[in-house]
Amino acid sequence: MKNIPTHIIQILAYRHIEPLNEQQKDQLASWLAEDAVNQDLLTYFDDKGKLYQDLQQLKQQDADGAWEKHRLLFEPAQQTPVRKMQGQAWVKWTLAIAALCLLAFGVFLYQSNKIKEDQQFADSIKPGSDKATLLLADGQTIELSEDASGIRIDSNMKDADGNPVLSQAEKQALSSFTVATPMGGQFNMTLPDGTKVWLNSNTTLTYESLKDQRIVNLQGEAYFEVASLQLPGTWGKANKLPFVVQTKDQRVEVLGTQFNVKSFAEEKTTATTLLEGQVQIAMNTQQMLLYPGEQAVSTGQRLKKQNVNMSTVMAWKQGEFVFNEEKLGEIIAQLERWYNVKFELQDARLADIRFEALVSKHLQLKEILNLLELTGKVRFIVKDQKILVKRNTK
Amino acid sequence: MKRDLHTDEQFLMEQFKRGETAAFEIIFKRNYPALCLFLQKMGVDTFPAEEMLNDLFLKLWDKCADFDSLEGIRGFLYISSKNAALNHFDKLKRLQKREEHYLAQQDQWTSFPVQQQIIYLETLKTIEQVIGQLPDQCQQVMQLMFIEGLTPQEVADQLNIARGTVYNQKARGLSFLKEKLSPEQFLFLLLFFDF
Repeated sequence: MKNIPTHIIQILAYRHIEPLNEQQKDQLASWLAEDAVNQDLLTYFDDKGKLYQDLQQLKQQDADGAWEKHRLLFEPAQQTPVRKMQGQAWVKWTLAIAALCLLAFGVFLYQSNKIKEDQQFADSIKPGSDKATLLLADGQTIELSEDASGIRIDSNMKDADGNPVLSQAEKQALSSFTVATPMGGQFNMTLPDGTKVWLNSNTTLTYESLKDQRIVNLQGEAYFEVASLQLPGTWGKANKLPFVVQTKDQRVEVLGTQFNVKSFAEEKTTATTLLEGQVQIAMNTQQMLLYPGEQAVSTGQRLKKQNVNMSTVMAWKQGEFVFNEEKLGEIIAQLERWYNVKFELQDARLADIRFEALVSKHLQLKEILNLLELTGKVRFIVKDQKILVKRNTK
Repeated sequence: MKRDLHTDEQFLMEQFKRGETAAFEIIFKRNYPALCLFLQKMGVDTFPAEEMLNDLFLKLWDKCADFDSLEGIRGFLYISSKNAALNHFDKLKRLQKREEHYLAQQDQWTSFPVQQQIIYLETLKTIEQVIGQLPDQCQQVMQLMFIEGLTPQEVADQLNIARGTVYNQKARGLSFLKEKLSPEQFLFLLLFFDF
């Protein structure tokens, strides 16, 4: 969640008491410009009847009474009185306690070893980074590391030392290749046709350039900025070279535009979101035209259109996680891919709890989990190379 | 120098982190009314709202060492209240009692993102604090003028006092606020009031 602007609260409050000066007016104006919903809030404030009613209601809340009622709960635990033991009982008790202590110590030794292992595992979890593997048609693989980020995949590709990456024969094979990111990896590059692609984690993209179209097979999530190309020797819109993205169910055909496709093998849905231009979606016999701000979602045999929040869809590319009333199941799927860890739900219903958060992808996993725990709904426990998700029963 | 929990926020925070009940009491009383109203505006009835807040403050108390700022605590309280209310409605829905709460949800209020909702309630808190510090008649005048938006004449009519008294009380109210507030706050007020 974003910070709550204290100066705006002051301004909004004093606005009702005295006219604002120039500086205050400027601050208010720039706050209003930040988000259309702020203007709505201001209008809401100016409904005098409502403000008065809410103020009255606020006054009527009895904090002192509530405190008195519950103060016992909030006070430190009282010492329970100790009964004195009589006769020989203390010998038995001492022995029993000693035995228990020994047992507990044994369990502690065993546990503390396990805890240490779990702790080491927790510390080893790191956010993902820029990396991918390039697979050429002849079967050769080339590791693309952080310094290759943004590279243009073409026959003149050079490695970090400036040496050509491809041999003469390999250059011939470049009309088709595959780029794959692992769990905990992401990568951006330019395809030979000039199209820019950002790959999210655990994503495989195969590119093939044919005479009359460019074809990409995608499993995972990628954002495309397609270069508009003319068919050789032609002109006019009718003769543009199509760019096609094929996923497990949707076929997305465009001429030159920006869009995001999410289609992971382990997830039932595929979602194509359009930022600019126009795309044609096809699934089985269904067809659909998408306009900016719209998303085509397919689940099983159904293809439907919906409006979405762009910043949520594009967050991954901006280096953020944006969870907007997002289900824990989806949140976990994203964290698993980026931190390369496994979560385990203690209870399948936990997957449906919704959370709201905006965090950087560069944070340690621990910090993100802490934030989610702060809601008081769930707890995360690192155990046996996994992260166990429990309902918070407290 | 003796530090005062009520005015020294850093001290309040330190004491809270250490689990001092006196610090917790202040934080409880400062936030409780606005959170009640927050839940009520979402359509939660008074009784379940009280229960929710009770649970929530217990949780806050349990985790006192995890918090580093009063803003952090405030954010936690609002967000958790909202989540508690949503869970509450989910349960109600399952119990087929959806209709009762439908009307409450029609209000524009529920369409605001939680950030704007927090700003609204914190503003109410500020207005109440500022006006609540004034002497009686002065308070009434300020309230009618600034909150209800009445003209001085209307205020005079309603309180059955002369119009001149309204102006006097208003001036008195402003100078009272000036005396009452701490130096920094006063500076801040000066920015607004332009004496």
